[in-house]
Amino acid sequence: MPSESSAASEQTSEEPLGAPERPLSGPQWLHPLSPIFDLLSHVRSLIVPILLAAFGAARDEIVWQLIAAAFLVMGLFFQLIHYFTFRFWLTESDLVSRQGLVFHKTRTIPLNKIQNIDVVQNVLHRMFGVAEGRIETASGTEVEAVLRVLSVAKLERLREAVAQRNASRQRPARAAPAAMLESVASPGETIAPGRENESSTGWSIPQPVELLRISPAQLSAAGLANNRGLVLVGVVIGGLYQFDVLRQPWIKFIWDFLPTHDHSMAASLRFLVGLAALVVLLRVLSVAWYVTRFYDYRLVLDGDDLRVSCGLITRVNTTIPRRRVQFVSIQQNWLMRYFHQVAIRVETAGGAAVSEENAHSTLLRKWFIPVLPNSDVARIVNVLRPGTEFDVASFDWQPVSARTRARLMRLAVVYSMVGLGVLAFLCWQWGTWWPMAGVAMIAPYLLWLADKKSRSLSLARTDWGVVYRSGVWLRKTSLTFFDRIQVVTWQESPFDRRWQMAGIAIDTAGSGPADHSIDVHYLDASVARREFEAIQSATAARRLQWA
Amino acid sequence: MTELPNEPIEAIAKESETVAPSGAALPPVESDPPATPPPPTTPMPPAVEAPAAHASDEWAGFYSLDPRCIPMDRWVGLVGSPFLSALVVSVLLAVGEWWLKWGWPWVAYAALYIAVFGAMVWFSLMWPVWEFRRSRWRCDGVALEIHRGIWWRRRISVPLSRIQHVDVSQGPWQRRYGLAKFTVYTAGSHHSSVDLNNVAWETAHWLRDRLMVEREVIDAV
Repeated sequence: MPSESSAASEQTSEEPLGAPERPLSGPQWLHPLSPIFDLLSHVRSLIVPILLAAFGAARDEIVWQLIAAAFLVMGLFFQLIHYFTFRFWLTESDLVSRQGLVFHKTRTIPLNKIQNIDVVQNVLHRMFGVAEGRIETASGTEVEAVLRVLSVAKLERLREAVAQRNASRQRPARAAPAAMLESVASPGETIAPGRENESSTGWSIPQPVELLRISPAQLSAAGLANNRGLVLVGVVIGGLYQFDVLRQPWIKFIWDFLPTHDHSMAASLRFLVGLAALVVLLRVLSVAWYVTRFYDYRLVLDGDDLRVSCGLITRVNTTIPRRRVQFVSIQQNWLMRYFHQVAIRVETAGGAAVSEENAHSTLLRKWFIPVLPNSDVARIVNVLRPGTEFDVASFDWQPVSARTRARLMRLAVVYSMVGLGVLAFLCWQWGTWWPMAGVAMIAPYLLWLADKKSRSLSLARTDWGVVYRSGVWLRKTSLTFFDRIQVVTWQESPFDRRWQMAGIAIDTAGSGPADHSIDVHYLDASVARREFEAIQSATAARRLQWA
Repeated sequence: MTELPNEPIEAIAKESETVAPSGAALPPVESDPPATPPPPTTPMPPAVEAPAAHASDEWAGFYSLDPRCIPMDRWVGLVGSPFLSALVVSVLLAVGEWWLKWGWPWVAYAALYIAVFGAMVWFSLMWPVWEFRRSRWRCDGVALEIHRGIWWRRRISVPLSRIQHVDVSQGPWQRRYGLAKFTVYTAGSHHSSVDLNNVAWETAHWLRDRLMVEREVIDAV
């Protein structure tokens, strides 16, 4: 397996290299051994020929080995094409690569967007004095350019040239996390907003501040309000099947509670009591889950890092650099509303760092703050992003179109009719009609839900970003900041057109853990247009604050 | 290979707008990359006039795709449609005869094939025109904005400072017609890459150079 030695590209080269005028400015080839290493790197795609060859060897049939050889030759052929068509070169500002025989592709990577040039060198690489270079920017998940393989000397020249050019532009790659960590202590260059607050004291490193501590009582309340018990029920059911307990005699005791064979009043009552007991049990399990998972939860602000630690059995510690927060989601289900609690989820920019993080810290984005009193939300948001006035009442909420209610209700009616039709057909087949009563009850619920949903959706644009809230049972209020927005989209479906509506979606990095995104439908067409343009220009007016 | 009759395309181009740079001759395919990218030599025409069919302010300042994409997409569709309709009909035949035992005569399947083929040919001829009419793009100093979609319409706006890197790519059909695909990459999740397909090859390079210049300006701020 390759032993990776990664190094950030922005090593500060001490001496201003009086290097050749423009090294690597002409078209560069890969190392002649590249096709071999390319082939080796695609070992997985070689499984088929290897299996075929083994199969042929076992059965002593030459034809399988021929097929395997054909696969190999084809693979090598494509790698050769790649080798003979791939070129890269440096310009004043960019790294350009060009490849393809039939489908051409020219990729231009601005040097100052390059976060990292990873050098991968395993034993085989070392034997031939070559290495694999992986050039990473902040985009997406894949590596932007893989130089497989270059001679070590050339790769070193490339890295030097990139570093030198970036340095000569007096602009060290801002994006690199490593560089950022160092700059926390230096108050001179304020990059992340609000850094001034901490660094105004000069060179002294700010003391860690405890922001939040959650008591077991609060956790219990959260457990009662959330249905995490079902998670444990899944485990229990799995166990039941595992040990074949369904045949055990005590199962019959539970079975007797089900009013399938006994229609007496007492049996029904017993069934209801059993159901209530089950609900209580689930909630107790949920409390147990919350308390063990988040016992002694602490949120500490240490410099620019948010440190979370919690857990009774497994103690989890994780660090979230504040400047990497892209998206904050405040979520509250209908029971939490009675307890005046919310939960907060965050999404952070990953980039190259994501793969190094373990499952725990990923989980703690989803459960960043498992439970928080309503009154503390503004304070926490202001810590997550200094200078953010998060006062829901003061926002200029833009509700969705007034016709949304009619549209959603019509949709509910359509769903009910379709459901009713299908069910009527099934009932006709079964020869029983009582399931129809269930639908007669669901239809009003759908209408009620449509009404509630149409009122729950609204969008607010503030001077720092965008806030969106949605949800009936589970209310989600999410916010992001103009300097975190990557792409703004306006969208209009044929149905939207009929109702003179349109939608807006906002894309940020690292989306996922919050389970919510700013994707607003049912806006009045004119409002959608206006907001799209306003968000677009506000976004473009701010530099990307990346990590 | 013969060209499709040119009237409809000419008509569209004439009727609607001046088109961003109308590379008359096929551009030479770059055999070896130059040491430095060519300066943005292709000046963009002034803002295109809005086509009569649409609200005038909606398209102000936007460019359309290169109209050569219409014959190209038509050819691709025409070449593909006999095979695709054969596939559709053979699936139907397999399901109908082996599974459902319809017992249709072969003439029915022949007629079906002709009908499906005809529909596909019609779509191959019409779709590129619709797509051409509904696609616009703009690159001012602020963002790259792309409008597209016939039924589900979208405007995608990528602020220039959010662009991480760009691709210019070109397939064999596009090469023949002097077209290219321009792709920008961002750090976003759903739109980590945004395509602008079927612009003139020169336009794609013009865009690339322009975005790089704009980026310099933005970053220097």
